[in-house]
Amino acid sequence: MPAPGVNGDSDARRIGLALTAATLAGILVWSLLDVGFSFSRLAQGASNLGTLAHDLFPPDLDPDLMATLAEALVETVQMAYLGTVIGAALALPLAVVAARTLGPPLVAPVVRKLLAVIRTIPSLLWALVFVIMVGLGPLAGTLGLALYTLGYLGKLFYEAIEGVDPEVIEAVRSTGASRWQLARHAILPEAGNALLSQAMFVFEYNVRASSILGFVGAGGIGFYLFRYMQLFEYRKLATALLLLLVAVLLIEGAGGLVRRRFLPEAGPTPAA
Amino acid sequence: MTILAAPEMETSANPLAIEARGVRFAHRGGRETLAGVDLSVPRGGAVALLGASGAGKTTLLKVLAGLATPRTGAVTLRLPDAASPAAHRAKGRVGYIPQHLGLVRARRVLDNVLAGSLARVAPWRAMLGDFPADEVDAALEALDAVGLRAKAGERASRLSGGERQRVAIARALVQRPGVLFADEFVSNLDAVNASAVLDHVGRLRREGVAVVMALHNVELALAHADSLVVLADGRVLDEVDPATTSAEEIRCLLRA
Repeated sequence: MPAPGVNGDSDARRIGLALTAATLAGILVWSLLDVGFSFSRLAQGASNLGTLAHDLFPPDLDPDLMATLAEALVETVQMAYLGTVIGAALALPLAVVAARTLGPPLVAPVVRKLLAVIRTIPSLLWALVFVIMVGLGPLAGTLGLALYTLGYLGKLFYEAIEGVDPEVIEAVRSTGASRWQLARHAILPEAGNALLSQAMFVFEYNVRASSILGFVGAGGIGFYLFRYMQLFEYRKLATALLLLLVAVLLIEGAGGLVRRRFLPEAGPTPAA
Repeated sequence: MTILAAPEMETSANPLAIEARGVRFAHRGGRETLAGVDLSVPRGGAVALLGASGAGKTTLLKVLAGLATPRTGAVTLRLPDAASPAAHRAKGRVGYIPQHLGLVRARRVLDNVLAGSLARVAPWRAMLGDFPADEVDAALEALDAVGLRAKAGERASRLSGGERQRVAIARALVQRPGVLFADEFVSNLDAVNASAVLDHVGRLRREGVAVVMALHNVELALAHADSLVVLADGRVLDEVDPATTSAEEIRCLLRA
C-alpha cells in the first residue's frame, strides 16, 4: 500500500473532524428540542426547588428513625460488598478466557459479547429480575449487583490482563505453563494491583447503586428513600440522604487511603 | 512446501537440532518481516543473529520458538526424546528468553525461576503454588549456577539489569530445554556481565542444547557462537564462520 501524501492525509483528517463536529452539534440541537429544554421552565423550577429545600429542612433527627435508617444503610453496604465480591469472583475466570492474549481464540469473543450483554442491563433491572426469582429483600439486590458487577468488572479485568507485558506471557508460556498456570503465575502477579484497584472502584460505585435498589423492593436504604418520597415526608428523606452521604464519603475516603498506601502504581502494567 | 502451525519435532540420526526452511512471515495487513529464511543449527551449536533493528531477528526467534506462525515455510526441531511437537512445547522443552526477559517483576526471584518447572508440576499443586521439594532444590541449584542464590527471596523488580538477565537464564536452566531462543538478552549488560551470562549459555550447549540468539555486539557474537547469521530486511544477507572472519568484516556487512 503506498503511503498517503502528507497533504492528502491532513485534508481527509480535517474533513473527518468537521463532519464529526457537525454531527455532534446536530445531535445536541435535536436532543435539546426533544427534551423540551427551556430557560423559562428552568427559572420557574428554581422556585419549586426552594420549596423542596424548605421541606427537607431541618432533617428529622429522631433516634428511633436514625437507628432504623442506619440498619438499612448497613444492609445497603453489605449488599454492595457481597455483590462486588461475588461479581469479582465470577469475573476473574471469565476475564482470563475473554482476554485476547490468553483466551482460546474462538471462545474469547463469545465471552466478551456475553459480558457486554450483561453490562447493558442496569443493576436496578437485574435486581427486579431477582425480586421476581427469589422474592423481596436484600438477596435479590445482592444478586442484581453481582450480575452487573460481573459484566462491568469482567471487562475491566480482561483489559487489565491484556495490558500485561506480552513478553512475560511469551516467556512463561515457553515453560509449558497451561492457561490457568499462566494466569496464576504470570498474569495475576503482574496485574494484581490493577485488578484490586478496579474491584475497589466498582465497590464504591455499587454502594451508590445499591442505595436505590430498595425502589424495587430489593433491600437496603432505598426502600425508605422511596417511601418517604411517596409520602412527602421530606424531613425523614433528608435524614436518610444525609446518612447515605456520610457513608459514601467514609467509604470513598477509606478507599483512597488504601489506594495511596498499598496500590501506589495501580493501573495497567506498562510494557517494558 | 509444508506449512506448519508449530515447530515440528522428530528424532533421528540427523545432527541438526533446528532446521528452518523458506520461512516467510508478515503481520496481519503489514509488510513482510521475514522474506524466506533458511537456518540450521546442530545439537549443541549456537547461531548468533546479527542485523539492524527491523531486520527480522525477533520475528525469526518467535517463529522458531513456535510463538508466531509462519505464512509459509517449515520449522523442524529435533530433540533427543521423541514426542509430538505439541507435547514438547507443553513440556517446556523449547526455551525462550525475550529481549526484556519476561520476568514477573512483583514476584520473588525464586518464584520466577520455579516457573521454569511448571510443565513438570501437577496442575493443582502449581495452582496452589506448592512446588515439590526437588523442584525447589533444582531452582536453587540453578540460582547457585548463576551466582544468585543469596537473592532468591528478593523481588525480581529489585535486581539490577545484570542480575535479572541471570534470573532469566536460571529459569531457562530449570526448564531443561532441548533448544533455546534468546532475543538481545545481554544487550543492556557491560562486557564482563554479558560474557558471564553467555558462559551459562555455553554450559547448556555442552549438554547438547542448540541455541539461537540475537546479539548486537559483534565481539560477543564472535566469541560465543559458532556461526553468525546476518539478517537484513527479513532475509539472510550472509552466514559467516567466526574462525575465519574478523569483527571489522562483519561490521562492513552490517553497514551494507
